[in-house]
Amino acid sequence: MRLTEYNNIEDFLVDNTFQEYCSGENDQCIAYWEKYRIAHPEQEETIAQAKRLFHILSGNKKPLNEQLKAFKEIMAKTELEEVKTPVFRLGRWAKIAAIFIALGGAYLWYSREGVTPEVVDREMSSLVTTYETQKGEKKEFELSDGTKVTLNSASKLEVEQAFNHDDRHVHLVGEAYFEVEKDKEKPFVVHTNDFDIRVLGTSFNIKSYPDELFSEALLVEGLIEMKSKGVNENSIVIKPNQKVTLYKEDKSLIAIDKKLGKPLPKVAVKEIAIQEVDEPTEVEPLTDIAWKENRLEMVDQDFQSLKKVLERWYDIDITLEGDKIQDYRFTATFNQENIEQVLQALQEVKPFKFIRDGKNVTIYEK
Amino acid sequence: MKGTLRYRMLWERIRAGDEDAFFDLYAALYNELVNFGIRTCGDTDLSTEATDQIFVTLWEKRTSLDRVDNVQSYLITFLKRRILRLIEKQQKINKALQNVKAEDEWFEMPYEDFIICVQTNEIIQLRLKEALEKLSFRQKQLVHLKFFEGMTYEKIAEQTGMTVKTAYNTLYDALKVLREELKEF
Repeated sequence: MRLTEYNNIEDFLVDNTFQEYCSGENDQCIAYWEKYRIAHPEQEETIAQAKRLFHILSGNKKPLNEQLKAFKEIMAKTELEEVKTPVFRLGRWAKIAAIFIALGGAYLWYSREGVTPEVVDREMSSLVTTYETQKGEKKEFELSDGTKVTLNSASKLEVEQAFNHDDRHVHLVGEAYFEVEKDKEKPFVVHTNDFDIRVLGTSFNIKSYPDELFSEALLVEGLIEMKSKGVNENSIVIKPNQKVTLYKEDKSLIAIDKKLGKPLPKVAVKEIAIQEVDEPTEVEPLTDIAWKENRLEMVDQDFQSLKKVLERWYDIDITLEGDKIQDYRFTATFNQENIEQVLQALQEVKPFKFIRDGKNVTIYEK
Repeated sequence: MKGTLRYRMLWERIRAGDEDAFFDLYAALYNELVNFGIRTCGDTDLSTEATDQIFVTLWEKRTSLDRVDNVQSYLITFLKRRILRLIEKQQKINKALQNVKAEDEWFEMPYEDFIICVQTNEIIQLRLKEALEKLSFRQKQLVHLKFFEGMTYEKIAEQTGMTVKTAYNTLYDALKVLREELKEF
């Protein structure tokens, strides 16, 4: 029903074309009423009031056309400027727990000969702020740009003085959880000895200990780009709940397909693995950042790699004696237990004995 | 049913990376999703943010999406989780959500409650409350279905058993009352 005359607010608001103009859902209605408004300046006040009342009664939602425009801008910002097309197609692998890729038969990433792990291979200005943790220690702090960092045990983060001038570079040895402040103008880059990570306002976990076989990056939110170090510059884009594991040693590794539970064929080349990690539910957050919440979690981990985690967590030295023991695998969660309680609990699963002498713990076969 | 089929088709195109289909789906379901958030949380900004976020995530994960039977319920479930997460982050205690225990126990407020909740201006809240109290049940229903849910007069007539003409007149009378109370705004 169209009135031929519009006098007051309710005359406008009862008209469904005017309603669609206010809600921003119909381009023709929008065009019609915008023209009408210009043609009837004496009714401007009434029309404006009608629009405001509509806004209130509809729940203060933005008109759809405006909302869509704003959303398109948000989408444009979250997409990376240069998206490097990955060599692989992630869609196919959504169901597979862990994929190992040998790229081109050659080393994708290789560390330069003769470089000791401690050398920082980037030019940093001489003034550097260092955050460090001892074994068994954890530190939480904020950088000058508002980025929050949680540093796990036996780790070190170096922040140069020029941080947050043109860009934001830090260097990490060990493990840290980052919640990076969004700043499109100043890319946030984390350098480790094995790879560089460029981020755009995200939350992620990086693990790169020199004495460990693997380096990992787990992304919780946002998007990050991982760039290799070395002659072949390759980069990968990671999306939330994906974990990239870099195998540093070029020895033969026995890789286990987590889902199938059996070993994959031995491979001789250095590899990277990308895993789709299960979307965390409110009840079960991600294992990899459990340390941040003071939980010690192990998922199907062998004693050999577990030993390092326990050493760092409890600031002790562990000796594993016996060949069988190295391959024992455990899945467990601990929260506030001490090392003896942890070991006792693990003994329930697999038979072993242990002796503790202050900071030294020896684990041996029964 | 026509809507469901259309959304399923848009969904498949989104999985294949069709950006136009993505924005079409956004435009088509936006109000429905934000409205759900408003009815349960009484917070338009939170609802809007949560809805935008799930769409961003949807696009980011488009290649790993499964086929979906009912796009709307899938997105509502997704939205619920995101709203909870946002609330945790913002630590907002919301009267409706104090009642939420599990995903299927979301309590929806009646129009006259949530429409007041979302107002950020206290004076508007007060005036609106007084205005709504002056309306009859039918008048309130018309205002809710027309302005919040965005239904056509035909649809409203069908749903309430009124004629289109009665719906029209009822709305007109309601607007007179509302206009009187809220005219300074």
